[in-house]
Amino acid sequence: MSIKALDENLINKIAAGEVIERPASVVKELIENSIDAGATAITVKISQGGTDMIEVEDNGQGLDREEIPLAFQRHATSKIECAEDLFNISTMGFRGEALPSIASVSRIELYSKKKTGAGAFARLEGGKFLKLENAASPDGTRIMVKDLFFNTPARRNFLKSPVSESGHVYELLCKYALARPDISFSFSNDKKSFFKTPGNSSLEDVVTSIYGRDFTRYMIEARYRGEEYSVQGLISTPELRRLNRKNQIFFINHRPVRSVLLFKAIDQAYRGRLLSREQPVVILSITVPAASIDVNVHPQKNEVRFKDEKTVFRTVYAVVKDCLEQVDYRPLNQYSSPDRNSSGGYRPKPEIREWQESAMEFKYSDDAPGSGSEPPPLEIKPPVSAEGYSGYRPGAGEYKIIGQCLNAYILLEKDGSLYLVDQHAAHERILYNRLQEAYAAGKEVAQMLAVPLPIELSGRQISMIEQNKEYFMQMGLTLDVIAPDAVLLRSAPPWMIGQELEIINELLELRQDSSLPDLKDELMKSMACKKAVKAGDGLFMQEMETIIKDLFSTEAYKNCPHGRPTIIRMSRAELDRLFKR
Amino acid sequence: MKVSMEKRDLSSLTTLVYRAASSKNTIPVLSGLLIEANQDQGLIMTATDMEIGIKASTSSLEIIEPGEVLVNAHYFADFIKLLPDGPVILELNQDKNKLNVNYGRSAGSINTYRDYEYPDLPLKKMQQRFSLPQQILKEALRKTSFAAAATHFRQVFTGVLFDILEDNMLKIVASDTHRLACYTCNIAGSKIEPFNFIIPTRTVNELLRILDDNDELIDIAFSDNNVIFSKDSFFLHSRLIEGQYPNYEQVIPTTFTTSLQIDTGVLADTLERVRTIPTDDKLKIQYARFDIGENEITVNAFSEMMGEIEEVLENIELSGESNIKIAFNTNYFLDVIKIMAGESEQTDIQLSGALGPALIKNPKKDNYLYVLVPLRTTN
Repeated sequence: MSIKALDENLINKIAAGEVIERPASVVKELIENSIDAGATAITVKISQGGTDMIEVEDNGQGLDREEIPLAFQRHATSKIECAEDLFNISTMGFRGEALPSIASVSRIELYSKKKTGAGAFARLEGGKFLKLENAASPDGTRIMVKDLFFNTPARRNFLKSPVSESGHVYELLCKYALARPDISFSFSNDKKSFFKTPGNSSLEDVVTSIYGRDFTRYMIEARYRGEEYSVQGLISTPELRRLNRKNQIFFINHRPVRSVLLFKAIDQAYRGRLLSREQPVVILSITVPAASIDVNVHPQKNEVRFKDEKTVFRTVYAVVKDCLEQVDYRPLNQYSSPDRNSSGGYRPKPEIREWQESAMEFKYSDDAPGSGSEPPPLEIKPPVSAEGYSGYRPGAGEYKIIGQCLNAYILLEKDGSLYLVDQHAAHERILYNRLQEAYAAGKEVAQMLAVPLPIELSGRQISMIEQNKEYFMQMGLTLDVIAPDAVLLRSAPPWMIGQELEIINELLELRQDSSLPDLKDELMKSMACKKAVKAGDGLFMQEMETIIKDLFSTEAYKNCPHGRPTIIRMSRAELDRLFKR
Repeated sequence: MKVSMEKRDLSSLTTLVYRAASSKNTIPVLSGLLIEANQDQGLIMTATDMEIGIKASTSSLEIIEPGEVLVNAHYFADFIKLLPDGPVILELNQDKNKLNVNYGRSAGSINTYRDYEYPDLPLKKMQQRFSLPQQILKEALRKTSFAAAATHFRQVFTGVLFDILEDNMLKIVASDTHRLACYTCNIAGSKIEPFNFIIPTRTVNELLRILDDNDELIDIAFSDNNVIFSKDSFFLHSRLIEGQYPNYEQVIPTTFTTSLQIDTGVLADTLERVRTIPTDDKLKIQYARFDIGENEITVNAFSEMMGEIEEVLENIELSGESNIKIAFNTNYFLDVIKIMAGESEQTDIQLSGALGPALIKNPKKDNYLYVLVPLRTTN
């Protein structure tokens, strides 16, 4: 085989692989072009998650008929002219790769018009012009990308379901809408409108139009303007917490970026205010001198390199922390709505948090003997010597309880082996199975509300609720969609009183890509865990007998509901080997 | 500062005021109790955590030397409460920054705050709006505030609404979204423009402690976003809860398919017994099923843990549809029946089917009603 230069079309397809990997990347390139074209309103419509069609319409400066072919040429860009410009980039795009890359893997129709010029229309397929003519068009550009990856089946096969792809587009658009409150963004998927931001330069209004007013109430404004660095945005009070970082969004010079450095700064600033796995919601727009960052790290431009990491870290950390501290001391004369301590007395934490905490504790905490912090309630130790108990009874059958050790484990002889039973895990399994039995009948009660509660949510959350109506119903939550961004809560499980919003949010949060959590199951796990004897509790022989007897007659007895083992076997052979017999 | 007074007077004034002080330590002066002595007003005590503030005074004392001092409210109150009866002398030792409390041959000396800047209660700009007889306000709050939520993401449900309507009609409403209590009365005197405000339940609880069972008036005034209740030489200021209270009139049902009258005492006893059925933790709440027949009601409560109670209530008067199976939260039901038990032998319960809201009231009075929404059970 001899080496050949690749033809232009193939080069474009390869380049497309780098920049264009899914519908969201097409949308990203197109709206960056729109932003660079000075648009103040950008409308994005997709169908079938963008695999069928992506349409981006803007009111930016537009293109002349003569400019259109140039725009689809590789490394043709209006945004940089010489190498020096690379280090002083203020536009979103600059490589001149986006349009030719997209064009090479799709069918494109484009209408465009400059304010002063005549309108133009172009149609391309796989990067080749099929048509280019004058046509009537409003000012700005409207581009439709159809049949993405029609000529690269391998890549097409890698696309996820339309729901998942539209999720990516949604998240992307949220980011840009947040980055540019001065531009009105609207997004619809399969003709269903998800949001439209007002474009009035108010970040808070953008957040409200995307996430709903119930979300904004827990956000506080962060604002800092320094000589070189400034930070502006909204951060959540510790009352609002999420379980992942999806809602930590950063913009450097209006460009959405992911940055481990910034995540760390946020973690530090919130330290002590949230549990270790809880994440705040943060939307921060950071302005830095253009020369102090390198955005040319990655073709997708969603990573940046800072020349002065320390200053960036310190600035963000300090601004967020200051802001949080001000909240702590806010009770002065003004009523801070999310402050639940202020409305009288201590209140237990919301149930839903409790079960998650305890469930997690079990996965991660080191429950080794000796680390149990609670002392046994009574200093009565069960007799350990063999004569001291009547454990070995006919009928108790095939095992003999030797005793308890370290107030945490029950020792057992059975089938010629030594067994160690974790008393807490074992008891937990027994209780859990009993609860399951008791509630298997599904006797759920739901309290209907005297005052139905309207709740504002994001379009994405609303569509998730619509898709999972059955799930919420089963839990006793009746949610009627009353507007594109609001539901009416008509009934809820009685114990949820006052925390419905928080719990619905958390359920949707946990939803993400997998199925919705089985709240009832989690509650049973947490109940079982709380009621079970703890490591450190001294047990009487009768208690041990009951636990062991019940354990062996319980289904799936080898693991506790959280998956930890309840019982460990050491065979005669293993013991012998240890003693080198 | 130096004053001499009876322990009884000192203690009652302290008890009245100190609870408004902050029990958190974020801002130290807010944990303080300000004690001022001057010849005009006597001994004045003030405590506030900025959400709620109480100021009260007494003139039954002898002022030897006027002055003021700030002490920790909770320490001071706990101590004063336990002093033996008899005269007490409070004297500030400026040099040592201690407040000496002398009683009989014994004495305590209490640390005081130095260089404090105590916030003023917003009493200066206050504008009087209306007055209510104390016992009316007390009854209204006692009968409604329990229905408010302890915590709620919609803050308005943690407070009690005062809604002044046309013709000086005042409705006092509380709801936690599961039930709603509403008390109606008239404000005597000149015409008041309709307006409304929501006070936190903590404020209600303080008010209930100080209101007397007589017809003397308590004045209600406003200053910015604060409400001020005052009588004699007593002021209680509280911030208001901001927000729009939902339209509660819509919540109160007006048409019914079934109307019941039942002996209040008998029902109260049944509910008390049924309430001993334990809750099976969070999966369940205490509730009872009511099987309403033409002449009797069967009440059933069940718990996986404890067992079951079934009671038959006879001597009911029913009109309209019968054979309704309906479930209510036992505690919500008992809350209102206990109130009914204090004033009426019979209780009116009006229903519309198994899932419609129930209206509960005294058949002889029209100034109080309670809306209780049933539970939806799957079997």
